[in-house]
Amino acid sequence: MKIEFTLNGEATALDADPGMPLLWALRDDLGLMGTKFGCGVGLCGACTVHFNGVALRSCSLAVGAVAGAVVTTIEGLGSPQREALTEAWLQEEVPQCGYCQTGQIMAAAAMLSKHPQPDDALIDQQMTNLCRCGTYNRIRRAIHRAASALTPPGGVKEAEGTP
Amino acid sequence: MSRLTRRAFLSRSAGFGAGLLLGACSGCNEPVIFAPRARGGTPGNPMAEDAAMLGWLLVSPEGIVTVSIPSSEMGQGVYTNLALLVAEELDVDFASVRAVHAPVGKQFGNPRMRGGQLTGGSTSTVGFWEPMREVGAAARQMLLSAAAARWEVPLSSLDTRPGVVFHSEKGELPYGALAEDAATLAPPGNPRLKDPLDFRLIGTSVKRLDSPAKVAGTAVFGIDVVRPGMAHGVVLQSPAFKGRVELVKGAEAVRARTGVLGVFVYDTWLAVVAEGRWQAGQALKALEVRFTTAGAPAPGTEDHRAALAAALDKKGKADLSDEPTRLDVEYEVPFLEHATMSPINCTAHVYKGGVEVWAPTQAQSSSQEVAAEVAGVEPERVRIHTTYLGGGFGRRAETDFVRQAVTLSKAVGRPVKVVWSREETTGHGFYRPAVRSRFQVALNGAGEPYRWANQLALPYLLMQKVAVVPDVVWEMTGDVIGIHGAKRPPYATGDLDVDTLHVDLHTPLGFFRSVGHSYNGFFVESVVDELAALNKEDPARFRRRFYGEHPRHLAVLDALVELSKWHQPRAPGRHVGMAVHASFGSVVGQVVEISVKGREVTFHRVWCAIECGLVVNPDSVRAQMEGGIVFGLTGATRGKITMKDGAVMQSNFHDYPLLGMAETPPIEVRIVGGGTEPTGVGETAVGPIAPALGNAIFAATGERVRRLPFSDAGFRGWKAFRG
Repeated sequence: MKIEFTLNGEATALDADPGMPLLWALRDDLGLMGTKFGCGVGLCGACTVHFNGVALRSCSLAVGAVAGAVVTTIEGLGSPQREALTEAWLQEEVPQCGYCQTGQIMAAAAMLSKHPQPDDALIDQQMTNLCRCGTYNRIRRAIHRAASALTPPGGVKEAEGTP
Repeated sequence: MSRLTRRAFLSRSAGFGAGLLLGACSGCNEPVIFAPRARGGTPGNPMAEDAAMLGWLLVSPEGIVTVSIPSSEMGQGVYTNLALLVAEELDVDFASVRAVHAPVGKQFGNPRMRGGQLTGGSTSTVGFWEPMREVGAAARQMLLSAAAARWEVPLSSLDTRPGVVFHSEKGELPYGALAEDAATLAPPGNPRLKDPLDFRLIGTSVKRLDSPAKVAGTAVFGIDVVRPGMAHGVVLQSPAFKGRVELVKGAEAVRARTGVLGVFVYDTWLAVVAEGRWQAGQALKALEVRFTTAGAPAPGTEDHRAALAAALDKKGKADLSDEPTRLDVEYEVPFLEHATMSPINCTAHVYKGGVEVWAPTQAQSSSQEVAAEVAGVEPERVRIHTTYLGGGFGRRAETDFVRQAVTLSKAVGRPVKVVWSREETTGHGFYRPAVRSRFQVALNGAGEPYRWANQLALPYLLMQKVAVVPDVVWEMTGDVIGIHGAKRPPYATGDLDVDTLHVDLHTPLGFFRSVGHSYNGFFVESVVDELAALNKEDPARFRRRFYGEHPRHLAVLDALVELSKWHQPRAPGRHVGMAVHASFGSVVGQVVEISVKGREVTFHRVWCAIECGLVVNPDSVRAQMEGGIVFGLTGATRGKITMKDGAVMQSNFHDYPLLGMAETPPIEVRIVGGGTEPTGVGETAVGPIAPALGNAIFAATGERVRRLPFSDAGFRGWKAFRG
C-alpha cells in the first residue's frame, strides 16, 4: 500500500505493509538509522520521533497511520532546537553507550516545544525514556542548558494551549 | 617489544603518492585512511585493507592522527581515553586525533587478558596504559628521526611541540610532512615514556570523540549495519534453556512468501531470513512452533533456591555457639539479565574463502574463532568489524550472536543481519548468578570480627567460560570470580574461612557488570553494617577501625564522611547508609540518603568517592560512577529474573523494569588519592551501591533486608526528591 506523508520536511511516499511499525519503515525502508529499536512495545522510548509535533514511540505506530502526517526524526530535527540540544548534550558530555540518546533528544525537544522552561518535576514526568547507562542527571542538566539557550531575550511566553 | 614491528607501525606503503585515499570503512564509524596497495595484499582483496588498519596509528598529510582502539567502546569511554594515551606521548593536540576500532590482530591483545582481544574486567585503561603510550612515544621518536634526517641535524637538537618537530634554527616541520618518511623507519624498541608530572593531556577531561555522532544519530551501532545485498534474520529460541525444537508447522507456506529467503530449523532454535526485518518477524509469527524439554532439566526459581540451600545445609556452618557476640545470617540475590539498551544483534557475510562479521562485540578473539568454526575457514580469513555497542556490561563478551549470524549467512549465501527481539534478549541472556550466602561472624571483646566464616552457594560461572576466559584463570585454584569481593574482607581480623559451593542451576551464566562484586559487595558491606550495629557503633567509625592497613579504603571513607556530613545531624526524616568496597584494583564507596514513609522510599542524594590511582580523564571517571550507581540501583530496588520449567519468566521492560529519570537522585562524585598508574573504573561503582541503600533502609526503619531486590520486602516508590 502506498503511504504518503511528510518526512523531515520532504514529501515522502512509501510502499509498505500498512501494519508495519513506523520504526522499521524509517530504518529498513528509508535508511534512517538514528531512530533506534529497544523494546518494540513503547516502553523504552529509543524509537521516539515527532508525529505532527508530538513525541511518539514509532515502534508502536503503524505506518499506515502516518498517511498525511508530518513526521520528524532525529535526522530532521529543526533549528534552533537542533543546535541548542546538540550543544547542551555535548557540553554536559551526556552519552555513554549513546544508544538511547537520539530518543532522549527527540523527547526533550518535544517537551521544550510545549514547556520552554521545564522544572525538575516536569522533567521527571515527561522524560520517561530509559537509559541503561544511567545518564539521567546529565540529560537533566542538558535540558536546562538547552532551555536557557532557547530562551529569547526578555523571557518566555508559555506556548498557547499548554495545559 | 614485539608489539611494535616495522609493518605494524605507521603503515603506509613507501610507494604511496601525495594523494591519500580517504574512505568510509563500514563499521568503523569514522572516515579511515587506507592504502590501496598496502603491504601484503592486492587491490580488491579485503584482507589488504586490514593491512593498513593493522597499524596502531596513521598520520595524514594534514596532521590528523587516527588511532586504532583495541578495546570495544560500550559507553565506558575507551574510544577516547585510549587515544588520549597515544596523543599524550606523541605530542599532539587532542583536536587532531581520531579513533577507529582495531581489527583482530595479535598486537591489539590486552596484556591483562593474556593477549586476547576481550574488553572486560575494567582492564582497558589499565591493560593498555603502557602499550598505548609506547605507541605514541615510538611514533614521536620516528618523527624526530625523520626530521633529523631531512634537516641533517643531530637528533639531540630536536624537540616537539604539539604536532610539530622544531629546531632552534631550522624552524618547524609538521608531523604530516614527516609521516611518510617516518613510516619507513624501524620503531624504537623501548621508547622513553613521559614522567606523569609532565602530562599535558592525561588527567584532563577531554571531550569524547564519539559524542557528536551519538548525539546526531549517525553513530553506527551493530543494529545499524547495512551491507549490499543484506537480508534480515529473526530468531526464535527454545524458551527453556535445555529445550529443543520439537515441531515446526507451516514452514513451506512461509518459505513461499514473497521476500522470504528461508526458514531454518536447528536443534534448539529456528530462524526466518527475509528481505526486511518486519517481514521476517511476521513470517516467523506465521509458523506453528513447539519446543520440548523432554527429559532435560527444567527447574524453576524455587528449585534453584532449594538446591542452593541444600548445598549450604550440607556444608554446614561454623559453630559459634560459645561466642557471646555473634552474627549468623543468610543473604541472597536472584539471577539478573544485563538489559543492554540495544537488543542482541550481529551481521555476518560468509563468502567463498572468508567471513566478515560486523558485531557490537566485546570479544574479538573468540568471535573470530567461532565465525571460523561455523564457516569452515581458517581464523585468518575472518574479519571482525567492531561497531559501537549499545550497552555491553559483559553480555556482548558472548559469541552466541556471532554463531547465529554466520550460520544464517552461510545458509542463504548473502550477508545477514540478525536482530533479536527484546523478549529473546531478556529470555536468552547469560545471567548474573543467583547466590545464597551464609555468614557466621563473631566479635571479640574489642568489637573486632575475629572469626569470620562465609559459605557461598552459587552456580559455577567460570566453568561455563572455558572458551572466553584467559588461560591464567585456570591456573588458579577455586572459583576466583565467584568469590570476588568476599575472599579477603578487610574487617576480618582473625580466622577467615570463605568457601564457594557450586550448584548447577541449568542456566547460562555470564559476566554481569562487576561480576562477583555485584553480590559479594552487597553481602559483605551489609554484614559489616550488622556488625557495627551489634557492636553499638556508628557504621563509619566501625569501618574506620579496620582500615589502618588499607589507606585507600580510608581515603574513600574519609571523603564520604566529609561529603555526606555523616556525623552531623540530618534534616528530619532523612537517613544515610554507607558502603566501601574494593574491586578491579580500585576502592569505591557510596553514601545513600533516603527518607522512608511506610514502605515508600524516597531518594535524596548519593555521594560517591573513588580511589582509582592515576586518573586519565576525570569526567570519564565521574560518568562511570554515575552510571554504575544507576545500574546498581536497578538491581538493588527491583532487578529480578525468575524461572519456571527451565525458562525465564521476564520478557520486556514491563516485568523487568529499569531505574528511570524520576528515580535518579543527584549524585556527587569525588575522586580521591592518585598514583602513577590507573586502576580499574568501569565496574567499580556497582559493588557498594546495593549495600549502601540497604544500610540506609536499616538506618531509617530498623529493618535489615538480606535479600535483593528490596522491592521483594515490600519497599517501593523510589522517587527522587526534587525541590
